[in-house]
Order: sequence, then C-alpha cells, then structure tokens
Amino acid sequence: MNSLRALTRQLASPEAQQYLALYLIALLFALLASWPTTGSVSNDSWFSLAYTRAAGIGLLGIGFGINYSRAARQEKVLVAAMLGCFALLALPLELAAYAASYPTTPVAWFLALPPLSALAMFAVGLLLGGLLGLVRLRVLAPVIVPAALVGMVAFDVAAGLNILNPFTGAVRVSWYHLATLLSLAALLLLVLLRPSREVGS
Amino acid sequence: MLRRLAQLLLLASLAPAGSAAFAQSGGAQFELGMQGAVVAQAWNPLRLVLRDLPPVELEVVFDQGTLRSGPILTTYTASVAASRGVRVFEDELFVPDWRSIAWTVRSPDRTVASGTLNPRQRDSRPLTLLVSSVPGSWLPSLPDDARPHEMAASALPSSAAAYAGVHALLIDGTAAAPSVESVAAAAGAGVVVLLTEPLPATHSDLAELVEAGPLRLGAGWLVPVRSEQVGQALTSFAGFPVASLAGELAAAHPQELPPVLSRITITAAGALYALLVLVLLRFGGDAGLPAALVVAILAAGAGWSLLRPERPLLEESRAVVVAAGGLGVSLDTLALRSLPGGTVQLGRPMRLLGRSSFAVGTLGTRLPMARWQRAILTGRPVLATGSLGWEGELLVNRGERALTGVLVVGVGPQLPLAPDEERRAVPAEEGWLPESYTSLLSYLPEGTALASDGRRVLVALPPFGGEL
Repeated sequence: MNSLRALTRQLASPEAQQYLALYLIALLFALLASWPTTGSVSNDSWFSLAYTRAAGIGLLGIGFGINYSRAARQEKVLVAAMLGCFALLALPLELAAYAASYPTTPVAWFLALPPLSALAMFAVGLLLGGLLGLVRLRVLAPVIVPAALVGMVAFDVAAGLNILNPFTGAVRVSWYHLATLLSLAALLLLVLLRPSREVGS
Repeated sequence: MLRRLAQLLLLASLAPAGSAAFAQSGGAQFELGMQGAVVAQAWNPLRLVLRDLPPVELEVVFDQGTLRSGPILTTYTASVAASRGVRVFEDELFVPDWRSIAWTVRSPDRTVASGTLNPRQRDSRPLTLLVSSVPGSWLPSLPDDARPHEMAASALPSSAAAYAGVHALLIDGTAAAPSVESVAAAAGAGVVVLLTEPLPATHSDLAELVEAGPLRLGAGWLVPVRSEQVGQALTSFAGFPVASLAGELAAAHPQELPPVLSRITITAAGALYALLVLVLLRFGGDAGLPAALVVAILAAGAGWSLLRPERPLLEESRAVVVAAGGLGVSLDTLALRSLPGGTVQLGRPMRLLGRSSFAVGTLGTRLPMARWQRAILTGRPVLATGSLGWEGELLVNRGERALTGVLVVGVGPQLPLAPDEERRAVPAEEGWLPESYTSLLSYLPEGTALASDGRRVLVALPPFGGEL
C-alpha cells in the first residue's frame, strides 16, 4: 500500500507531471497531424503514434535512467514504475489510432510493448549513467540520451536485424527485439527488487 | 496478284496447328485460345489433354511486367485427376496484356511437359471465326482489321466465357453444323453470328432461328446474310460490350468506407483525456493513480468500440445481366478494400481489373493487397436468363423480384415493374435514377431498358439495332 502511495506521490510531482504532459502532447500532436481528413481513403495514424511513442519512451527511459543512475534503489524502483505508468496511461490514445488504422501488427504486441520498452530503456539509461559516471563524463548526459537512440537504430541497420531499434520494433513483430527488451527488463527487475543485504546492520 | 498473295498469307495464318499456343509434349497436349488463337485482354478457352498420367497440376504464368515495373505475374493453377487413357481438362482463363506466357504440367515427382508462347503472338484483336470448308473464300469479304481464324464446328466451346475474345462467327454450311448450344453461347456472349443463306438441311436447326430475320440474342446477334452481305453485316452489327459495362459498374460505385471521426473531434477527445489524467494524478491524492488507470481503461474501451471497423475486408458484390431474345449473359463484379492488407482469398475464379500480381485457379482467386487498397474484380461471363426484357413493344418482368429504377434510354424513367408485369414504355420527364446508372448510359443504345432487382442490374437490349 505504501508503494502505491509513494508511486502516486511520484506521479503527482511537478517533474513527473511535466514529462507526462509533454509525452501526451507529443502523441496528441502526432494524432492531429496524421489523422485522415475528409476525402482521405486510408488511415495510417497509428504508425505515426507508434513511432512517436517509441521516441518518447526511449528518450524518457534513457534520460531518467542516466539521471537516476546514482540514486537510491527505492528511488529507482519508483521511477521505473512511473515510466511504466506513463506508457500505460498513453495507451488509450494509441489504441484509438490502432482501432481506426487496422494495422496487421497484433494488438497483444502493441499493448505489451510500451510498458516493456519503458523498463528496458530505463535499464539502458541506468547502464549508460553508470558508464558515464565511471569515466567521469556525466556532463555529456544530454547528448548521450538521443545519441543512444541513434546508436540503437544504427546497430540494427548494420546488423540487418531488429534487435534494438525501437522504431521498427514499435510497428513490426520481432522476436529478437522482444528478447532484448525482456532481457533488459528482467535484468532491471532483478537488480532493483533483489533482497537487500543491509537489513539489520 | 498481290491481293492473292495476301490471301495466301492469311490462309497460312488460319492453320491452328501452326500456333504456338498449341503444344504437345510428354503425355500432355496444351492448347490456349480458340484452337490456339489467343486473344489478349479477354477470357480464352483452355484445353489440356492428358494420356496415362498420374494426377498433375497445370500452371500457366502470365507476365505483364516491363523493364521499369519488374515482373507482374498472374498465375493460373489447376489440379487434374489421374488419366487412365485420355483425360480432357477444359476451363476458361483471362489472358491479360501479356509479355510472356509459360505453362507447366507437373506430376508429384516430375515435370511432365512445359512450354512458352511466342511474344509475337500477342494480339488483342477479337477473332472472326470461320466454320467453313473454304475459309479462304471469305477473306476478301472481311474488314481489313479482322482477325480470321478457321474453326472446326466440333471444337466450338459451349460456354459463354470462351467467346469473350470473339467478334464474329461465320457459318456458311459447307462444313459440319455446329451445335445449337455452341451458337447460342456465342451469341449470348456478344458474338455476331452470321449464317449465310441458303443453309443446307444439316443446318436446319440454325436456319430456323433466323427465319424471321436478324435476331438479337443475349449480348450478340444471329444474322442471316447472303454471301455478298457478309462484309456489310460485320460492320453494321456489333455485340454488346458486357465486360466494359460490368467494369464500369464496379469502378463507378463509391465504396463505403468505415466512419471516421473528424480530426478536430479526435484531437479534442484526446486532449480531454490527457487533461483528465493529469488532473486526477495531480489532485486525486492517494486515489489519483487508480482513478487515472480506470479512466484509461474506459477511454480505451470507448475508443475501440467507436473507431474499430466491423470487418477488415470490405466487399461489394454486384452483377449485371445483359439480355435479349430470352437469353442473357451475366457478369459478377466485386469491389474489395482490405484495411490491414495481406492476401485475400476468394472462392471463385475472377480477373483483376488493372495491373497487379495475383493467382487464380479452378478453386478460387488469391490476391495480395496493400493496406487500404481497393481492387475491382470481375467474374467470367455466364449465360443467364434475364428477367427484364422486351416482348414486342412491351417491357416485361419475368422474374420473381420486383424491379425498381426502371429506365428506358431515350424514353425516360418508368414505374417499378412487379413480377410478371408487362407494360408499354411511356415518355417521362426526368426522375430519380440510381447513381450507378450514370456511368452506364454511354454504353447503352436507344431503346435499352435498365432496372435493378436489388442484387443485379438488368439490361434489356432493344430487339432492333443493326441493319443490312
């Protein structure tokens, strides 16, 4: 109960509110720009929303990850849960576009991917934050966040597979991408939720 | 002398065995078109004769592609059961404007026979079939652009679709008489059948049909002519272009798209949802997150039920029946729109209007479609009885359904016709007409009656038209 209360407080904080508002506005803008006008035949709005979601969750996840890489574990758990909530709360906007667009991407894929991506990207952010701290280059964090996304796209282009690229993974089922996200999310949960050894000390 | 030489060349071209659309190898003999004469952009008869073979699969691949577009393949497949002795498989298939045609007969363990057609054989001119023992004698009477082809009476098909690429059929009584069914199928499909007078007693069944003079039958004509009138008859009588009419009917009809909320409405609804979620999280206290999640679930459900189209594949099926003289030819049309795209399976063989790869066979049609793509297909023409027709000066409905949207071209809209009702057409001022008629009117001669029975558009051609 305390965890839920803490998460609610986290989501009510001005910082979380600003980022959630920004994410929802980005999705709304994508919806507005891509929704078909009268006379248009096809509705491809979901693809725009899926790409916007991939970018939004990627930036937020990696950004929060780098920023909170030196925070206490409890704080990291709260931020990870907050990102998961961001992904869930934005789903209705995407679901409306999905319903009208009728893409071939399975609905289960598109429902499962956003929260999973949020956790995986947060894990990537934590790893990058740790690395930057190690080489004492945390000042590069604002550049590293978008650069990490670009790097993921470039890696997949070079590999010829969809392993990391969140944009391709957002609209097309890829078992490699799913395996990567699951591994990263599992690693994150393992690290954050493992029993503490310091209890009673 | 030159004219004689030209006639000899034409005579040489009449020989069906010289055609590359006729090939024999292994235990299989493949023939496409009327005894090997293929007409592009039309349904053509196909005949496969097998001797002592296990079950085989016939595959005919048409490539319509260019260097720029790459291959555009139409693949026809048919399974033929094992043949003890001789087995004949016959079907009709639509031959597009091809660049290459390749055919293969495969048994489970080997390729039995295969071949290709010479691209120089590509010709979309309709045929003028000559059922005669002296076909060369008719060549001077034919128009310059005619494509004459000698035909044995026994080889005339009895299905309407096989005649889609035929303009005229000349029967002069010097060869064996064709069956009445074949001649009726030809006329019904839109062929001008010329019967030269006098016909011998062996052709009495056919002669009886035209005792009273030219007869419009289905979409075509049965015309008695004297030898010297053949050329004139070929120019003054013409079959009705059923395929063009059906294509126009399907293409002109606007397909109903799933209802879509306006851009402003969907954005306003989205903005309202976003605002509500933010307010609940900010001011909802401990219940803020659960409340926001409940709102999210409700919004998702509402959005889905409001915006999800009922079916992924929108289908509009129509049919047009063109009739005269108690016989009609019917053509189905199908307008498809696939929302998610993918491969669409249809349970009957159809042809696709437009250039795109697809597969067709005796069992159905398989069509790959892009997202939200529209495709128009037509079935093969089949003989039918048209319930709307002219009996003398009376317009009659011999069907079981009431006919609405009745129009007589050149006279005006008429009152609906109840089943078995007959009525004289009366001149009328402009009235309401189905929207689908607009595109059809340019095809219809004066005196043609049009009506709809709800499922089909019925066209009754006037009994008059050509003149000698």
